[in-house]
Amino acid sequence: MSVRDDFTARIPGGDAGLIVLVLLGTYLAYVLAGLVLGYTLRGQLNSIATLTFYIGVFAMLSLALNLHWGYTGLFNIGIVGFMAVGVYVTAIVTKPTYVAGGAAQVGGLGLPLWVGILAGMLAAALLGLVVALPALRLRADYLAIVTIAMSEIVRFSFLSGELQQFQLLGNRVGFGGGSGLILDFAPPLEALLRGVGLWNGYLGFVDAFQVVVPRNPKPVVDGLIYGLLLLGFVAGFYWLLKRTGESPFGRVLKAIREDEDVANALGKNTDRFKIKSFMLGCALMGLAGILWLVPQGAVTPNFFRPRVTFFVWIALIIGGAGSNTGSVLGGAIFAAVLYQGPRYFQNLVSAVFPNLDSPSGFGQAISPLISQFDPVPFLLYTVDSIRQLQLVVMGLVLIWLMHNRPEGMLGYRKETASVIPLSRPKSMAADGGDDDSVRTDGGVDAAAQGGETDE
Amino acid sequence: MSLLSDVLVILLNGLQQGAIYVLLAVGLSIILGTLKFVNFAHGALYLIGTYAGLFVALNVPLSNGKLAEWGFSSFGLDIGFFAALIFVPLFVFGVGLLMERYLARAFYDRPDTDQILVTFGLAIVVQELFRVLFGSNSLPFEQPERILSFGSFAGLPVSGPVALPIVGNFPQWRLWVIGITAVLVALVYLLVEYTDFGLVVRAGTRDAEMVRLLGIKITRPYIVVFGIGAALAGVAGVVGGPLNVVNPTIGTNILVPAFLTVVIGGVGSIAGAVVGGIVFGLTTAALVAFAPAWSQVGLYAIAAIVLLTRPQGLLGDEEVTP
Repeated sequence: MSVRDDFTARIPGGDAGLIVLVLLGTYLAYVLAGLVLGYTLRGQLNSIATLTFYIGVFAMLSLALNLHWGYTGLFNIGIVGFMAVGVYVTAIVTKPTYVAGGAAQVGGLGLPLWVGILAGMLAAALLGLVVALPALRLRADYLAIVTIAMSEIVRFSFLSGELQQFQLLGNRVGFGGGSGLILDFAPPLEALLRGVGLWNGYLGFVDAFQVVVPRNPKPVVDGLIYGLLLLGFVAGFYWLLKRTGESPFGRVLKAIREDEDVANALGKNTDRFKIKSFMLGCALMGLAGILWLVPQGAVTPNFFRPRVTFFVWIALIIGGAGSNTGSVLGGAIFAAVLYQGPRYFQNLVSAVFPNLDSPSGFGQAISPLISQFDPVPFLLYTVDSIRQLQLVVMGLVLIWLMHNRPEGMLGYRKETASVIPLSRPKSMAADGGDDDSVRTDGGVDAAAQGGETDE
Repeated sequence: MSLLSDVLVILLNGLQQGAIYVLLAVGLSIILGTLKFVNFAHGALYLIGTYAGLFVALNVPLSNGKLAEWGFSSFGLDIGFFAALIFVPLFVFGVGLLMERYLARAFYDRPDTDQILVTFGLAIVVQELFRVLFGSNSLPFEQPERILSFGSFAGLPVSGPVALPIVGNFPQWRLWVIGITAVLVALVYLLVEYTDFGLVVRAGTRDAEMVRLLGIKITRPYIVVFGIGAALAGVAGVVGGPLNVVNPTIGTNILVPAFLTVVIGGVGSIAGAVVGGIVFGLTTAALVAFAPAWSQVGLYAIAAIVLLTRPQGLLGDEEVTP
């Protein structure tokens, strides 16, 4: 523990410095992997854009989850349901109105994208209200069951044939059933740039980019700029949650997390605080879902399986619940290592052993190992299976983390509800033990560490 | 007359559907009630039960997944359904013991949410391992024709229709599912309520420390309770397998209804789990008959109504935060 603490303490700029360092390290690793793989410049830029995209979405989602779980202690395992509602409502509001004979089976209201995004966030927040109202009356873990049930209801509703198309304000709209919806409107980046009147300038920039990428540079530039936009949104989320967490409102939330009865006894209407925090987090999850899926051009209900919720939880647990920096770091590490990493690893191995085809069957893989002690085919075969085993690996990581490091891979960084430091002055601690024994005086830490050391 | 028979068919179908929920919910409920452990991997145990049942009872061809790639063109011992009903619960009981010892035990003193996360992780691991091994397509699980056929004894027919009064022909296997469930749940109930073992378990629920002070090793009853819960999920997998599709997602799909069954019945109450399961089964059967598109949403609606009016569940008496 102390080695890591020393390491993190020595980084200039504190937590922000740590984020920058992790991001730079990740990009460096990806660029090096790209060099080994012999990617062209275009391939390198594309891989960086994809990586940035996933870092952005997972960092946003785990920040929103941190508001629920890390700040308020609300155990939401229906994240994907709020994302789905955000995306579908945005789609219905923004899609062009239905024209008979057009490519799309159903239309929308044809409003601008920003209206759609606001409507989607609002819808996700309202769904959060509907979910939270009954669940708050129940035991804490019932919220978990209610939220996961809600996310499945949402998915089934979007899958159902009954809601495939219906009339809204005189327009033929719908959720498209199992085949999903085509998002036939301008993607967020284009809408934003057109909105601020920079679209032509952007097209000029894309043309200028031909110096770097000669043929058809637009998809590459789009990807890179959209990645940057997402990182901007991450910064926005971070700022919003930091402000929220440090405000009097946020202190009440942290107090609820630590002991709801005490917060209640101090005259705070905890239910109201919990509902507000839950709705804000749900709206942010809806926004993250919109930013993730709208650029993809189409959306199907079966994307919104509970596994996406599980991804976000792993990201948050990796970083350490309770801290915004940890959420961003967790999102970045999850995206780079667990989500995108296995594919790169597989490509790398096949680039290192270029003239070896990976064996097609288990028999071909295992027989050289037995007869000639040649492990390479077996290794290649295992690596070949890694992408299929990706979710297994993620599950094992989660189990391992929960067993050994429930406070997060990057150490204990939960922010306490108190505004003043709870640790004793250094001089009093000089005679006894290490740093941890000092921190146990702060109630919060004592509870968390007691849970670990018990038995 | 025909209306009456329709109603009876729905009732029987509902009881059968409910029986699966009851088996799962009783297991979940005793684990949740006595060990205070929230087991989100219960669906994974059901999944293991289904595939193990398929393995013991039949021999099905495999077309994709790693096993097929490794040269196993078919999968199974083909030694009959009765053998599956015996061996699979024992096997899943063993899986439950391992799970308690190496996964759950460390989490008894941790918050519910940690338990949920770790078992959620385990459920995903199991599901994805099955997907890798067997492929994500559905496997055929035929209903058994006869059970208990040894040598010259032809055995009892369990498939095909049976003529019932008023109802007319009804699939016999569904009646067997109801019967097996009733027997097993009664056994568990007797075990918990009327044996010394059950006494220790119930005392441990009230105050584990006191039981320990009285010189009783509480970990052993706990591990057995966990194993029994797991074995019930395994049985649910075996008897429910032939009535539903068999693919790697069944575990996660059944988990939420099973949990809702526990919640509306009342945590820790076996009778509550039975009532909850029957309510859910009847709701599902009625909705499948009249409004099939809403059959899945109906469960959630029932659960929401029960929770809003009786947060402690239909038969629960636990204190709920005011």
